[in-house]
Amino acid sequence: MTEIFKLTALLSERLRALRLLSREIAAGQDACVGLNHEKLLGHDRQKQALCAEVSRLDAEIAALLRETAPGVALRDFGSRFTASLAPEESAAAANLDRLLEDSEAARLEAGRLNRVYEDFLRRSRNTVSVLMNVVSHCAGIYTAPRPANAYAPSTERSY
Amino acid sequence: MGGLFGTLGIATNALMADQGALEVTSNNIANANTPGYTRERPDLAEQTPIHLGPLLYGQGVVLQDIQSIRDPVLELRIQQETQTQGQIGAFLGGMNQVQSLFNETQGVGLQGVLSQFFNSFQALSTNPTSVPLRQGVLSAAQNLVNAFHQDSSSLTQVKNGLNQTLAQDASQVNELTSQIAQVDGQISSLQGQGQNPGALVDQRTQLVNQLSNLIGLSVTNNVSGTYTLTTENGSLLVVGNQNFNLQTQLDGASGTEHIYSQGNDITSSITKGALGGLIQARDQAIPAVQNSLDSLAAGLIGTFNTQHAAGFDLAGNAGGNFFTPFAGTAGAAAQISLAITDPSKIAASADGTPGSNGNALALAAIQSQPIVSGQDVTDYYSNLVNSVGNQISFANNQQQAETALVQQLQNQRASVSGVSIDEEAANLIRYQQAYQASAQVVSVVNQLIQTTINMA
Repeated sequence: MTEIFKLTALLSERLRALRLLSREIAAGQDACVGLNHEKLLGHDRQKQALCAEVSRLDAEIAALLRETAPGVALRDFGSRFTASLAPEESAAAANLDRLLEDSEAARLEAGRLNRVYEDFLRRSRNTVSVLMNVVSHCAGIYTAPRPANAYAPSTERSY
Repeated sequence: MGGLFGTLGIATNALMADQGALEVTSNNIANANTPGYTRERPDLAEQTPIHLGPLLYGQGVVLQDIQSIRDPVLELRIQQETQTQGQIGAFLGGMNQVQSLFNETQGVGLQGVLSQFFNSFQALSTNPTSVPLRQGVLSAAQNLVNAFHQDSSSLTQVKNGLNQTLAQDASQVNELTSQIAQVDGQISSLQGQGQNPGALVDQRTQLVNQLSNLIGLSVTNNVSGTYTLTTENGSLLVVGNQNFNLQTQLDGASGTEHIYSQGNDITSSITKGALGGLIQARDQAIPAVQNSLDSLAAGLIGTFNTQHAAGFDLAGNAGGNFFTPFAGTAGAAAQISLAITDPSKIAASADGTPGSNGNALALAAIQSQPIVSGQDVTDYYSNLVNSVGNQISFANNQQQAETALVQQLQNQRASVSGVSIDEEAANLIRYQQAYQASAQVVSVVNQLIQTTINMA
């Protein structure tokens, strides 16, 4: 039952990625607050990479489950095979349950931080809307510049 | 052109202009860390030149104006978002107090006493004639009654506390509007004299931001440079140098403080600022919790009395009410009480024989029956607690987003209006060198005048 070690390794990697993702979301928000666009873009790229990594790991975990224990939910994996496990595998199974709990907590935290960030960006967009209103108001006052040749003296005289 | 003395005049004006510019720069540096300070910029302008024959002679420089660099759009956005921040903060403050009443993880709340109450009937069913077990049922019931009373009374206390805070905040609004009107008067007076009211405008901006934290505002700039401040529904707070106080009055029927502006009750129209948050918690969120608690108590009283009346007491008499009957739901949690004090009156028997436990089991089974809004007691109470928790969690997330937004706006404001020490240090050197050069001109003119005098 070496699959349990593979599963534990994959879940550990997924947990690490989720925690990094939370950190990146918070750091991205801080960069946006600090008006540091370069940093913001860097954090966005990191977030994309981490999301891709989590998706890849999810697919690998699902494939492993399909091969090892078709129809068994991930949360039941450890307890399902406890009786047939070697002592060191039992420890891994216990570790699996803890990893699942931590992963769920990390997933929820990443989701929460993402909602806060989304809310912040939504509210921040109001500032852009206000500025757009100001710009459009000014555009109503100042006429659009004429083409360069419109200023030619000959043209001016023709009126 | 005024000859040597004309040149001396140009140099002296330049000295004064550079000195003024140095003063502005040093004031910017001194206020680099002052919250709300807006950096100032000296506006140096060329003096009107004079024609002398075919030639045009420059007349030097003058310090024309000192401009405060501010972005009105950003100032407006900060005011708007400060209102939302104040509202969420006050709402959270109130709801956190409510949550502490239902903190099941710390053993506070109804969950424990509800379970003990139903368990006491389960225990009684094992020996329906046992007086100690019957006494245990009455004790558990009394604990449940006390818990309902405690929660209901605590909710009222939280509401009363919010009432007090509301009155204090309204009084603080009046204090701030009075200060704003006073500053507005000074700004108007300075502008009338053609002077720069920059520092006073900063002071007013700070005061308006403090006011925004307390109440939803609409700010209008008047031609005279003064402000007109109104509440969300248009009630006047400040017009120029005149302020209009808010009044608070306790409504006897509801026991809540209401806010009046010039005789009109504007309580329900205040949705932003700390006052908006307090009103939202006091008039919407807490009454919703209170109603749920009342519904739970009323459902328990009705269902329990019906089932109790279907049984028989220790003496074989038909069971009466277990709780004092209560009509309606409003106030049920505050007024729930036991109808019986004698343990033998508990109708545990289903058929009138003392050894029967049928009704005790039926009473214990009420725990899993839908008695309020199609839910059993446990689910209904859990939903109540979850609802409070969800509101707080949602508001917490909103507060985090809002804090970030206000910080972002302040950063944007700082990039426009804040003092850059590097830039000011460069300006300092620039104006210092210009001052030294002008002084050199004065010295040269002095030597030339001396030469002219010696020629005489």
